[in-house]
Amino acid sequence: MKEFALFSGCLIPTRVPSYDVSLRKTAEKLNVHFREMENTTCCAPVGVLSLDYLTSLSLGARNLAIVEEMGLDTMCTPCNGCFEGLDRIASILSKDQETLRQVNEILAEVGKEYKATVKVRHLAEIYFDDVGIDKIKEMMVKPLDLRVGIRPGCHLFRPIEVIGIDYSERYFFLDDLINATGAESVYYKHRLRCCGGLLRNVSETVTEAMLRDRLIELKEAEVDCVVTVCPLCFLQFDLGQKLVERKYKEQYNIPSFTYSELLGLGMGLSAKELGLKTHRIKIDKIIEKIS
Amino acid sequence: MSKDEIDIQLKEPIQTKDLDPEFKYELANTYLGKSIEACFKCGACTGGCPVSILTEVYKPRQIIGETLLGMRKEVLAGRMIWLCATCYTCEDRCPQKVNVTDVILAIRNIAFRKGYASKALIEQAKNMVETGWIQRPTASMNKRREALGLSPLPKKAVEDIQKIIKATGFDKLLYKKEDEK
Repeated sequence: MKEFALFSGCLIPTRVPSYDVSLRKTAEKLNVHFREMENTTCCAPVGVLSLDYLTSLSLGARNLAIVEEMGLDTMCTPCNGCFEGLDRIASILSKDQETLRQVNEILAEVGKEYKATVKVRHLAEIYFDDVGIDKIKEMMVKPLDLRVGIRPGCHLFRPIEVIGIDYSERYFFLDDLINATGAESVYYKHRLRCCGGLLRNVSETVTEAMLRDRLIELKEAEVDCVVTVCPLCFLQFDLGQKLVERKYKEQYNIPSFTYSELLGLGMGLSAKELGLKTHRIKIDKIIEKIS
Repeated sequence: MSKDEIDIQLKEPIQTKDLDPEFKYELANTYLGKSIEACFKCGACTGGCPVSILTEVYKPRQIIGETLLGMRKEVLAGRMIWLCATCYTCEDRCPQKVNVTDVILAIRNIAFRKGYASKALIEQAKNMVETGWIQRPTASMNKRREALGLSPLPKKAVEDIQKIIKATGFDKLLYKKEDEK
């Protein structure tokens, strides 16, 4: 399989190290080759885009230019924020020569040029398109008899115009990825609705009310756990769940995993190897259920 | 004796003299705001919005509607534009293919220039330009990484960020003092 430039962003290295370690350990087994990107910056996601379009575009283009310097044509990111932000920037710059020229004028200040050749892909897409469902099934050594509620993270499939799909609210490839591990992706109410993660610092009240609604819906569906490919969703459903439980004096106790962690468990890697001890919501009952 | 069984707050009518009809064109001329003029105010955006379900304080149709009407000051200085969670559901559902979320981001760009930005986003942007990370790294983060056999957090290209934000003019806007606004 071809080599991908790995861009992990900010949240995964700093706050979700279990995702970081799991995606690397599972990639080895799946024959996915990553080359680490160096000297990057924050992708300049929606928070920066909210303040200044050109700054967000230029910082994004600088990161994309590094992929070209590495002699690669595809960036893989496991983060939804990076994915949506950089995929959009790559798409704008591949279509709009004038904006590309403007951005390159700015990049000249740091001795870089972006030639608009890079394709940005989410790790989940690599699992689905490049590794494939059959390969994933083949690699599973441990039956994962689990009812899973998916949390794809909004920016994996929206905005539809940027991602290039017709309509987002239906069955989609993340369900196939979950089912390939032997677990069952359970259809539940509002499963593609936002968890409110990006509002956490703007309005805790709204974020936690939104997250609570999602937790209530998951509980009603009697899922064993939540599985996501988005680090911000993970933080919401792990640490955020604790905060909601405290605030509303309720108990949900729904363990959360990133998809790479679920894959790792199915491949027979231990909770320790996958860094699952760093989760705030204890995962013991899941480990018990699958062993 | 008052005949008000129900407590009613009367609204001040909007005066056309207070409106700025150029506001929508200013947005329509930006990449993020270019779809705004297609809106016919059906309300599908607010109807499907996961924030609007929770609070009366946030209604995307109202943001777009007030913008089309030219209520520049109310939209820019109001807090509503900062409550979008950017889930993009509204864009998915809009029958007119208005990029509602993007229009709101375009309005935020203008509000930022006027000194009305959300404090949380300013803080986040400062973290980014000063450290290269959206969240400031701490020693305990590295400790957790080390325990899992991961390398220490890599250095980010902070000097390049400084040069880029100088070239785009973002530095001046971000570090503008209160009295300059």
